Amino acid sequence: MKHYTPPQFIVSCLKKESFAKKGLTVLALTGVLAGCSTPVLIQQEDQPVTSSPYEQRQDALGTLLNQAWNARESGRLDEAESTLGRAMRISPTAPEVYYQLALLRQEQGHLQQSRQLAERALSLGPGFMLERKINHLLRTL
Amino acid sequence: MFKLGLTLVVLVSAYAVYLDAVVTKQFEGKKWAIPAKVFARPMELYAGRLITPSDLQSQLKRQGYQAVRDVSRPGTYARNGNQFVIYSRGFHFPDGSEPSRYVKIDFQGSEVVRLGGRDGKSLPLLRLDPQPIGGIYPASYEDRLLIRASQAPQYLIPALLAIEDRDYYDHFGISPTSIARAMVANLKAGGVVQGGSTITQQLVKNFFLTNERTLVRKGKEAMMALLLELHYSKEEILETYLNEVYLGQHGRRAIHGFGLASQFYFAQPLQELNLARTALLVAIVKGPSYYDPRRYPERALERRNLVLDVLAERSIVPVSEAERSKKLPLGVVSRELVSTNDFPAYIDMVKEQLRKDYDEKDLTSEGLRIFTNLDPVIQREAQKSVTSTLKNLGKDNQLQGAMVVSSAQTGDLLAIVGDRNPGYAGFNRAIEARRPVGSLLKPAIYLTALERPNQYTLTTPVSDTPVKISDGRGGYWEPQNYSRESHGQVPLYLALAKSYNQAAANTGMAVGLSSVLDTLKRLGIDQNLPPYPSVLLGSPSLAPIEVAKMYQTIASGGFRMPLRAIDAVVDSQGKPLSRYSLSVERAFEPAPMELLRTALGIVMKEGTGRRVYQYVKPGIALGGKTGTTNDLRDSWFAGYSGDLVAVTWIGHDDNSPTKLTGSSGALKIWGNFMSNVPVQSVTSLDANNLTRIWVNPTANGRSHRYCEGALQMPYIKGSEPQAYAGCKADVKDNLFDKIKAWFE
Repeated sequence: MKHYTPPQFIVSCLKKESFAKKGLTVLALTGVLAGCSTPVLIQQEDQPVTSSPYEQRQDALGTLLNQAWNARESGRLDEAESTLGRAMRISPTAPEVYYQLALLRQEQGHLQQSRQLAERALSLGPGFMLERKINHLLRTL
Repeated sequence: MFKLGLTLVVLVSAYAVYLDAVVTKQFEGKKWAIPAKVFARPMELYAGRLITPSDLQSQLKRQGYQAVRDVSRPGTYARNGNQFVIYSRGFHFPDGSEPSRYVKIDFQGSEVVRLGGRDGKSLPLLRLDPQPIGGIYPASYEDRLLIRASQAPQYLIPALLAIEDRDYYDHFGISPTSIARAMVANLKAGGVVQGGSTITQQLVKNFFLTNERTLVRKGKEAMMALLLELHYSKEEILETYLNEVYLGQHGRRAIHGFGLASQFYFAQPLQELNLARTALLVAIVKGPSYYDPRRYPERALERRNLVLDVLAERSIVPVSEAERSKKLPLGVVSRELVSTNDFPAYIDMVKEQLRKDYDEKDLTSEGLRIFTNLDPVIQREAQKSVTSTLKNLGKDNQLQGAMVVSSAQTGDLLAIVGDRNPGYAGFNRAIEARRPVGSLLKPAIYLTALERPNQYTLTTPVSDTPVKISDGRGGYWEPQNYSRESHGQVPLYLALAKSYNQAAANTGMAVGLSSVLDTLKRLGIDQNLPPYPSVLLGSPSLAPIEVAKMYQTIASGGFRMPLRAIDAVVDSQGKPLSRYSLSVERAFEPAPMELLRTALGIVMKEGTGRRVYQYVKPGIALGGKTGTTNDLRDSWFAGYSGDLVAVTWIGHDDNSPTKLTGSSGALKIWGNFMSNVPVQSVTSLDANNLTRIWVNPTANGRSHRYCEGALQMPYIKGSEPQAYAGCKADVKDNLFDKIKAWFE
């Protein structure tokens, strides 16, 4: 079972319910206030918590990022790591790869390395959306 | 008499019990020490991949892919101009299995533009099986590639039995009929011309006994063969034989078993062998050195065809097929294509990194599989650049070179060249040759300065004037410029670009020797450098690999990271043991690093590195630095593109002068290499505290962009010059420009 600091906890609730996406903010907030019911927390070990943002990608990098995302979300961390290594060989300057690796390190509990990789991702000129995600990660570390 | 007989029976029985123990002990469990196998990084193909079609084709050849007209099985390919069809081999990688695939690949120039499957649907990427590049051998240099009997090609076992032991499935270890047959033949010939050994006996001989030819040994061999048959099935014995039989010699390395022999002679997996090649391996069993197909192709061909005839005669294969196979060439690949320790300098590095985590014994016996970051295409280009440049530099055959190439963003070690001769497995200069590095350390001086924006900017004037400093050892240090002239006050960036020694010494002393040493440490120089002023001009001796680590930090934009030769290690069952993933550490803020990178870019455009653009297209942004040592003993170049870091060195092993500067020697290897591999531009770092303004660099003042000699330079905000120098624009123009700039 993972340990969540409060801000992460809220975010993961939001993601799980995916209310925010549907625009049902009020419901989402209710979910947050209710502390997301316990069953949700239990299922998060084995199943992908959030669907991969790279699902639709057809290119080599996108395919690997998608594989790595799904492997990480299902707890196959070794596989996620190898796949990210592969993605990095193909696109060594893609900030997404470093961001994904930072998330993986966070999951593995290597917070210092996670922070360094997140900074590395920032240094490679991520787009606006990705930059926000990276900064969010850095705040939670 | 009876007593004597009884004693004999008891003795023989006791001996049999002892032999039985020997036989079973060795046959159970792990039969062989299997050396670790080392693999290059696999070739990945995808739309956007930069590689020339001919590089792809030669890589396929090197990996034993057969060019065919009709691509119908794994390990084959066809090329039609800019289109390839590849039937890849499946492979078990540390992250899982890659299936065998049929893929069409379209090129445009030297870029892959499309990948499609058999059904025409596009495919995101294809990963080929990795090229094996060597092993880590025990002192005996015995090597094998284990196979299961089920992996043998169709005709291997029938052919082997037909030639070596036709009664195999009927005898019980020894075959009186074959002994009789052999005896008749030997008597007729008046000497030993034929052996009556069964497969089981041959195995016993190879497995348990020495090579002496005595009657006692013959008896022992027969007894052990009987015991072996008693304990184990025909299949088990045969499978062991397939892996044990000695089939060739590669230098000190003994080639055992059909699995490895197939790689050794054809660079192909055993499963893929056709009838003719299978027959050749069977032919070699009788005498691997006498029938060596590389040294004695006629003999080998004759015996191969004999094997084929026997197969046809005994109806194992149709006559027509045997006849067709007899017309085929031997198909043996050249020794250079045998991918074993092709890259000894790289393997050295792999071993060095492995020894930190593994015992020598495990490396040489446990059948580990080591996946490295070596890029075979980059490695070959690097070696070619070293070899050809040294050749072109003149008749000096003693001139030596070394080179290290890594991935600029990740520190993956892609290539190591340790000698001018490819494949040379001796002194590895890239790792072992520590030489004074000359001006290669100067970037550390200026980086130290640029980290103090209130004192130094790229255009701050520094003094290129005579220096006389106590050398810390009781004497004085009075460095000269290469041209023996002093240039007075010069902008900082120009002092670096032109590699002025006195400016570097003065700046280094001004910022403080200990600060420069600290910067060097942060850049990744682990060695403790002595606190002498001469360090500023590169008196310390470093190996190319250590220099690469320093420039790696610059190339990655200020992140320190280990240079990694190994990606992952898995055990003989494919279970991952360790993974060496990227770990990074920010060592410098982006802004000062970007300033240094700007200056190192100017080195290439206008400074001592400008000759590089005789090789590389001018539009490509690069960064780098030359290094030359006293009396022209060492010629260095260290630099990077957007995706690669490369360090090159030229010198003599006896340290005598080479008559080469960094620019007239090592730079040529570097430039030649960069012009032969796909190269990306260096991109500027994202730093929000930088501002770029137009300046008159020599006056360290603002300028207008249309003024003569005006340059746009980056500054850390707040450190940019305020006053205009010389060609000042009037206020109106300036305002107009400002407004215009909003829209740019």
